[in-house]
Amino acid sequence: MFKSSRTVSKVRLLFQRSVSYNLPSIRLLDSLKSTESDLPGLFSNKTINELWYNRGQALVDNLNAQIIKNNVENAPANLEELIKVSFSKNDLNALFTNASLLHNLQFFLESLKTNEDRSFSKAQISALLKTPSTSIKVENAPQDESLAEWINDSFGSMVEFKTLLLNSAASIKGDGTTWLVAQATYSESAMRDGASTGVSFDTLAIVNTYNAGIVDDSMRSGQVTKMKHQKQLKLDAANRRDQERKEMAAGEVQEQGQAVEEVVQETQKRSISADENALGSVEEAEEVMLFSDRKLVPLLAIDASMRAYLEDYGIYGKRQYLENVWHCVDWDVVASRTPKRFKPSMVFEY
Amino acid sequence: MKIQSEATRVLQLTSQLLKAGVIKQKPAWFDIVAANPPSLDLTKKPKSLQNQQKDDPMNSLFSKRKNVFYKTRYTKEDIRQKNNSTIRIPKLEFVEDKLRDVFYHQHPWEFSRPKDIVENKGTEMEKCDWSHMLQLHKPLDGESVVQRTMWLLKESKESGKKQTLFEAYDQARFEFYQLRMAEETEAAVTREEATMFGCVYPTTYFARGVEKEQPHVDRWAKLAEEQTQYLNAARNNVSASVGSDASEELSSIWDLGLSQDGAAETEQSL
Repeated sequence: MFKSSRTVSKVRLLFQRSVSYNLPSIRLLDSLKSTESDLPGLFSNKTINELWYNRGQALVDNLNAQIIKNNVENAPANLEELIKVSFSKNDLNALFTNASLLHNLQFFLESLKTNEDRSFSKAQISALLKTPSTSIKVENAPQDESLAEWINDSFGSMVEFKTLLLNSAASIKGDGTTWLVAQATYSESAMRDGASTGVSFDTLAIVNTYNAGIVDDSMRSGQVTKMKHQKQLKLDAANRRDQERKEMAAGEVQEQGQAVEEVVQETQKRSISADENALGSVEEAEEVMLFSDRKLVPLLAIDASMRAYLEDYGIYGKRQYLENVWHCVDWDVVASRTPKRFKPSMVFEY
Repeated sequence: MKIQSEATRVLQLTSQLLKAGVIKQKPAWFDIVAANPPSLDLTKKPKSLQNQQKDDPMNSLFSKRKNVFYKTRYTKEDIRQKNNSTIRIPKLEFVEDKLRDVFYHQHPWEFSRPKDIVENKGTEMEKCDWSHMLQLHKPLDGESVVQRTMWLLKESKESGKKQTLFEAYDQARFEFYQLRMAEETEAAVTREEATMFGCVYPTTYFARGVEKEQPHVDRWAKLAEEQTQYLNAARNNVSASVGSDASEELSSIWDLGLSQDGAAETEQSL
């Protein structure tokens, strides 16, 4: 059995050469690699190699191996399509993990530029208790007017946006990525006039993803609800089994059986009447209000995991690293990723 | 402790008691004390509560006055103030207290944060270094702002750059805001991250409260439904007695909505 499946996969390997992935090329990093120089203001050459050329290649290799192992036919050439196809499928979990990690990393590195004014060094332990600057001047703010305006409208001001973005990234304990996303609400989009196709993006937001998470709300939440649902199904099944057993026993004594049925009906009635006025849990509210109704499009990613800053900034240097990332963000790339903004003619603040 | 002035009020109290008839006979000392009232003021006075506080009169003998005369004996007024300084309690005033007052008036919700008031030795503050806002030995709170302000003031005095109390306080306050924002984001992100990794939190106090409230809401909903029906019935009766088409007149959209809702609810419950 095992042997035969191996031979099949070998055959498919030959067949599937065309859909295997390569490490995407990032122009800035490629030029730095060829000259063996640092990324000024952010990364040393060693980190670039580790972060992208070693780890990225490893992710690509794993991804290709997973495609072969799972006999995925007609794998889409586009990485995002592959992620969309493979997520929340148990057998393709490893494939999905590698694909999304690669995608997140690429998304982060593609929006970087050099900044000669900044420098990096290993931070001392005193960096933990460092007092933050109270200045409200923001360097390297986006020059693109419409993007800057959108950011100001969504977050209040540039400095508020920067604070929230860097705080969110700094708060991630393990592996994770902080994203700037454009957000649309399906229900609201549908309510607006149907001249435009699809969704209309009206706000920008900041979200975190953890490990191999992707910017997709259906992935990001609902675990608790799902587990509760599964538990309820199990309980229902157990109850049904009990019921059947009782009915079989009750077949001998009819009257008793009827009594049991009445009791069951009574309890069902009671549970239904209790539900009418019940408020419901926080998870249910989140599920309904937040996660199922949103469409998010990523604009900017910041890798907040340790491997990005440990080499150059040391274990206490996360803040310094994030500050440098802010200064090295290429806002032109971000602006080019931005979808068309839907601007309501009237804004109700509530 | 209550201010001890009873001994000087002995005549006043006794005369009140006589007048009320509690004491029938005048005490033997009554007239004498009335003629020579006790001159020593036993009231303990805080040091700065009295304006233009004089020196202890007991120290003033044999000192040369502005005019050439020497003071050789106490006046009646001096004796009344005898040993005044020994019983006077000094009023303690600190800038820090004023800062605390200002901060907590501006940020009243800072009071709602739990505060650790138990210390082993009471020397925790000595370990703090206020050249930075965050401390290892102390959570970030209003007291941090106060101490940091004082440090900034001292520092500005030593380094020669001028900084007023307001400037120092504002700087400390804005640093505090920055750190509080970071703290709050961290709390939210940490919770989210833990949830993503499979953490299931126990019922919150809020949820527990709602749960406890639910039976009462249920009972009330049933009661309200009944009462609404009575109310509607009574209203319909009144309108019916006034005129044949009165029910149409009376039904504003609110009444209509209510009665329809009531009908829907009764249908469901049936």
